[in-house]
Amino acid sequence: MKFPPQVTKTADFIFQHFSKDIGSVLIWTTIVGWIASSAAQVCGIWRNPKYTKEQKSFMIPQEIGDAGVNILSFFAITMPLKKFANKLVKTGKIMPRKLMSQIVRHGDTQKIGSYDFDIPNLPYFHNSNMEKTYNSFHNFMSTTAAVTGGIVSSNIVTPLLRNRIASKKQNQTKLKLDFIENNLSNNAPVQQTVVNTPLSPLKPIDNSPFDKFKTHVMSI
Amino acid sequence: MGISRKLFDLIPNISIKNNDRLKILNKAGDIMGRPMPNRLIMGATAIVSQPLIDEHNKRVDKDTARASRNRTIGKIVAGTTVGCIVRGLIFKLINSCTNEDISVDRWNNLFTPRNTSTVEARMLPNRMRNYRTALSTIIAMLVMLETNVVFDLPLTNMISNALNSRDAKKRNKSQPGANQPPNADVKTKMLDTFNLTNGGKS
Repeated sequence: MKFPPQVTKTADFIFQHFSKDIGSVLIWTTIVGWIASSAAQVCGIWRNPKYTKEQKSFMIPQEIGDAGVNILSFFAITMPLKKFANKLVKTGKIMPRKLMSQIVRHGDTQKIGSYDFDIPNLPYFHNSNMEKTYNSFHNFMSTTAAVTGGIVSSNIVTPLLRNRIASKKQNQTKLKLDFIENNLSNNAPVQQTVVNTPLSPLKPIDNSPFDKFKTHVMSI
Repeated sequence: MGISRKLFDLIPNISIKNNDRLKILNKAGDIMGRPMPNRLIMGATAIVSQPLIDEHNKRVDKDTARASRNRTIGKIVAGTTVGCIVRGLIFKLINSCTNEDISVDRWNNLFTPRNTSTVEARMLPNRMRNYRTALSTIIAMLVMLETNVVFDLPLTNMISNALNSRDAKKRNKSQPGANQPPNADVKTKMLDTFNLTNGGKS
C-alpha cells in the first residue's frame, strides 16, 4: 500500500513545526472552535421560532459576546496563569525532591527558586535523568494551570461579562425598535391628515429671510 | 529590581517529597492534557457555574434569564457530549495510526511523520506525544466545524426547547397567566389575570 504524498507531507509539517511546543496549536484551534461554535449557535437562535424577539435580542449578542469575551479572557487570564506556572517550574520554586537533589549535587543550591534560574538551560540537564522528571512535572503544572485558567475565564468571567454586554446590546436594540415603532405609529395619522386637508392657496411669505436681498435688488 | 521579581521572591520554595504523590500528579497531568478528558472537565465545571450565572442575571427579565439559562444548559450538554465523542475517537484513531515502525506503509503508520530521524532518540517520545496531541486537536477542530452545525445545533435546540416547555408548564401550574406570549393584547391579559378566559369559572 502506498500513501498519498499529501498525507505524509502534512504529518511531516506538523511534526516539524508543532511537536516542540503545542501551545500555539492549542490556542489557535481553541479560538477557531469558539468562533465556529458561536456562529453556529447564533444561527440556531436566529432560526428558532420558539424565542420571542426580546429573547433573541438578548441571546444573539450573548452568543457573540461569548466568543469575543472567551478569546479576550483566555489571553488575559489563562495565558498569564500558564506562564506563571511554567516560571515556577523553570526556576525551581516548585519541584520534585528527586530533581532538587540532583541540582544540589551539582552545587547550584543557592540558585534554586531565584527569578533568573532556568533548569532546562543547566549544562547537566540533558545528561542525567533530570529531563524526564522535569518534563513530566512541567506538563502537570502547565496543564493544571491551563485547566484552572480555562475554568475561571470560560466558566466564570466570560458568562458574567457576556451577560453584561448582551443586556446593553438588548437595551440598544429595544430603543431602536421603540424608535422605529413610534415613528411608524406617528406617521400613520400624519399621512391621513395630509390626504384630508385641502391644499391652501399660495401666499407670499411676509418675513422671508430673503427680504433684505429683495430690497437690495429693488434699490438697484 | 522589578516588582514582579520582588513578588516572585516572596513565594516560598516548595518541593514534593513523596514519590507516589508525584506519580499521581504526573499521571493527572497526562490525563488532563488529553483532548477528551480536558473537554469533559471544562464541560463538568461549566454546567455547574454558567446556568447559575445566567439564571441570576438581574439585567434581564425572568423569562429571558430562564430561556438563556436553558440555552446554556443545552449548549453545554450538547457541546460536551459531541466534543468528547469526537475528540476521544480522533485521539484514538491518531494513536492507532502513528505506529513508529515505518518500514512498510500500513494503516497503523498512516499519520506517522517520516522526518523523525532529525530528532534525538531521547527526545522522540516527548515530541511524538506532542505531535499526536497537536494532530488530533487540529483534526478534531476541522471535524467539529461540521459537527457544530450537524449535531450540536439541533441537540442544543432540542434540549433548550424541552427545558423551556417544562418551565412554561411549571409557570402555568403556579400562575395561570404567566405563559402568555409577550405580545398578547391587554384584553387577553386582563381576562387571564382575573381567570375569565374560561367563562369566569375558576
